[in-house]
Amino acid sequence: MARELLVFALVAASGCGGCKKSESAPTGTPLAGKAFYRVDPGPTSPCASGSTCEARVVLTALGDYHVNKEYPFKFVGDPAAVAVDGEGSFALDGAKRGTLTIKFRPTAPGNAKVVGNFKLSVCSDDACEIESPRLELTIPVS
Amino acid sequence: MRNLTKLLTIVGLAVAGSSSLADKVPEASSPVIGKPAPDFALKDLSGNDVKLAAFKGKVVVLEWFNPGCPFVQRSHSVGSLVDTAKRRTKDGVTWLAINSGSAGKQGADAAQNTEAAKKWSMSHPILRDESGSVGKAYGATNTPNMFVIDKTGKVVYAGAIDNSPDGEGKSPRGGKLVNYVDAALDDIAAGRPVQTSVTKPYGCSVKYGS
Repeated sequence: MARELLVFALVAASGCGGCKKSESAPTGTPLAGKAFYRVDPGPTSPCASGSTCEARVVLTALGDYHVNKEYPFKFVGDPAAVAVDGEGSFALDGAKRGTLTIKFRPTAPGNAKVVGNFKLSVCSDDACEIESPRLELTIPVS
Repeated sequence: MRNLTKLLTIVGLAVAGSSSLADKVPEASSPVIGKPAPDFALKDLSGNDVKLAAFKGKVVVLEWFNPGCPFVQRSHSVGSLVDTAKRRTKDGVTWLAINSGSAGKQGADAAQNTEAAKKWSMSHPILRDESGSVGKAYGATNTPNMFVIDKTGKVVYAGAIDNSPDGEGKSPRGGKLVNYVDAALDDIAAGRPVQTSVTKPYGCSVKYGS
């Protein structure tokens, strides 16, 4: 029993219950990126009109760069698109990756467009970069 | 079992603490706080000698600088370093920027420093510390990294310029922007101890040679 609890605790501490972590960069066309970072769509979850939904994007630092863990990552929503709640929350997943979760409340079924700028920072031993790519996410709403 | 419960509690706290970066208050320390400021003699961009000892009896602010660092760029163009030095030097404070970048590293080039000083209307000198000895003596880790020395020559503040680690003053921890250097200088002017004496600096790493 004690051993099982310990294993559970260590898995919980890793922040990853049974999944395999990978430091390799995702493939495919990113939502935004440069030589030192890329932003890709994150895991989706069902979204219903009138409820609070979540959109996720994954930041991956490329090459010698790592995610700047001191930086106040945030999403600045475009007022012309669907309204977002707050500025998003960013969670690190290893030195080179993190996920930004953006909450929003769609008012009608169809495709909700979450549009805005993702303020991010990545660093290497030689340089830090601050970027603010514009993202446009289309979320199906039931 | 009791030990295991303790372990689970510790792990639980660690997990909770690592889940979000938004509201973390970073730990802070400084090897020079409360101690006599390490003396130095450096050259400015024009080749003039500048000695800390020459400012004995004055309040001195040291600003670790790198014009190639985006946090320095934002601090000087939109953030808490806009006009702060000008305003404070009018009050009799001596403000010195120090670039501890090694030759060939980001922001170490003299012409780039001269250009930045012009662009940001910096009236205070930028001192070159290519060996990094002065930066290391102060424990400067970031750009910007600020130090305030009081009239007795003691380091009374070490850390960030403010509590907004985007360099723009737009994401202050706790919701209200605090310029720590301004606050320290206000405390000194009022004759009271500096209330926030150490904070964790943010920004780029100092580009030391080795």
